Amino acid sequence: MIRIRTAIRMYPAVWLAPMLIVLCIWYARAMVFRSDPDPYLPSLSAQPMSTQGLVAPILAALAAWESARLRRGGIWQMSIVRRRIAVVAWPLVIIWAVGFVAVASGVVAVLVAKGFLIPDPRPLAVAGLVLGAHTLAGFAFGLLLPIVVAAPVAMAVSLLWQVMPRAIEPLWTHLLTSQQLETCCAVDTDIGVAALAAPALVALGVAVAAAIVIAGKRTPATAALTVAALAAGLVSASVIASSEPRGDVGVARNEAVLQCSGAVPEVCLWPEHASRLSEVSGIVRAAATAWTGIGVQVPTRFDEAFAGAVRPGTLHFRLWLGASRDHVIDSISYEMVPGYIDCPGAYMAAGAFDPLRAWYAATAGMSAEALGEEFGSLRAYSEDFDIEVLALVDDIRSQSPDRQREWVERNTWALGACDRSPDLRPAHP
Amino acid sequence: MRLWLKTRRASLIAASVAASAALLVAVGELAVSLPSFGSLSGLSVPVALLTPAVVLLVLSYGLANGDAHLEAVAARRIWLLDNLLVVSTVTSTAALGLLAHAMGLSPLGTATARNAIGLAGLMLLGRHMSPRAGALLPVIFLVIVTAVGSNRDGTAEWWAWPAALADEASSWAIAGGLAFGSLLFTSRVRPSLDFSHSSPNG
Repeated sequence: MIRIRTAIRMYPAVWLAPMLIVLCIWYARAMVFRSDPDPYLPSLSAQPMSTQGLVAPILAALAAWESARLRRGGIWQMSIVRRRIAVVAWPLVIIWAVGFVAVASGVVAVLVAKGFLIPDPRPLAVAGLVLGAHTLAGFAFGLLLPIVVAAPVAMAVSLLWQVMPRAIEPLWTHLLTSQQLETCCAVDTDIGVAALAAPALVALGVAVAAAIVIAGKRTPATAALTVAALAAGLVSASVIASSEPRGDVGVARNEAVLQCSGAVPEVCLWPEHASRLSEVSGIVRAAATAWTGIGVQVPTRFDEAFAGAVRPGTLHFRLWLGASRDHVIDSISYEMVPGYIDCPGAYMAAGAFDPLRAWYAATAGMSAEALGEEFGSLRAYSEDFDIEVLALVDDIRSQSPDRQREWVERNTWALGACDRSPDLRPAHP
Repeated sequence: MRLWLKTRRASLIAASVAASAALLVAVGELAVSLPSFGSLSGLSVPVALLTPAVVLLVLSYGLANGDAHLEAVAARRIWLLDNLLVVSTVTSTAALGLLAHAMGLSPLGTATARNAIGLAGLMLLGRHMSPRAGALLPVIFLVIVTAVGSNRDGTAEWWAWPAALADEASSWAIAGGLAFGSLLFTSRVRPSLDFSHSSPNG
């Protein structure tokens, strides 16, 4: 057991600890609070993982430095009484602990600001494993490389390991680094297994390979084992990561926790937004009543579930805690219009999307200021027609409900295929 | 001279210059970024701009070989030879970068040439502090540039010259100043010898 006084005297990692902790707290808060995120625990625990991009290379360099120092001291040529693991364990544990505490401090600083105390353990568990692997790899570099270049090489390789997978394609390679966790998660998604398992498996492979090097026996068999461990980690991680071809960290969240209004149409929100359930429910009900009054078919349920989960009669919309009445109307209006189709050639009805959205928003009672802000600069267009969206919508809304319903139905129909021309003219023959 | 070239691993350094040029062409415009304090998207740093670090790592290793105490009292001016080795290596790396740009093989060749020059200056300063810090200083600086070298608009801060565009005169001035100043400084002020170790390479 190394005494604290000895550790402070011996290890640069301990000297750097206060600076690293302050840096991580600053960095994590700066990254997460660029926007005003919802108080969603998995997201607030995962986003500060961006600090690993700085901490991991520093740990790798420190470990290489310690390892090189032991080499320079000729420790491995001496007939030491203690076992090799006892000699290397303390520097490794201390360096890892400094890095882990720094990253965890960043997470805690973010959580406390949003009223949480206990983080989601999953991102931190992966961070612990990843930082451990970077530390072990750095130590192995210190044993293998010339002392002068061990620390800088460890630092550079560690940095590239963190950032390079995110710079290349296919997109699933982004999941091979724990740095990708910083993109997690909207409130309708949870951290996916692939985003946790892939960087953990890479880290495990690297950690085992580094441990074999550190163990000290240099034979063809141990060299083969080292390569096998690296390959196994990388291949297994790639298999898991490729299950998310778009490199998404988030997967659909369990809908069982949605809290519903009970009225018709039913409105269901995530627990993080439940404090606004009755208010949002009222806004949605008023909008639905206005649309039904024109004769437009309206879903019986509006919920915040993941947009990928398509169910007939249900509309998924997005919300955030600070959303205003106009934001809620904009969100449900957006979802009332069929989504864009990925067409091989021209999407003939593309120009109908904004006018329809604006019609839904205006009919639902969006304020004039918000309408101007959202649609003021947009134009409604088709092959032989081009006009300002708001002017067109005003014209349409001045007509009878039947004419309005026909206009909505025929242009909604046009948006359903690539080759259908919209008919945006108010006076349809 | 032959012995000095052998001690300084001249062939390995030459190989690293060639490898760095090959890497420059191979990576194209592939860029990496860390989330940055300065901007939402972070500073996008093309990997090509980091390739001179390969040469500097090997150069730093080569320069750290040999017996510093014997060389300090040698009749030949080893420090002068070492500085010539640095200058010729950096010149070759920069020339290959410029050539790659001129031949259309890499759009980042000119900026890479600038980085070879500036990072070599940092390496010389690092070596002056400690033979073991020669390669560390440029790498630490590159990490800092990647992490915090971004403006709000996603471009490089004035001091983050390795990530600046090739046509930014100030980046050339800083890189050139660093290299020239370091050469001048390390030629005039010789580091004191640490007699507790024979070679920094262990």
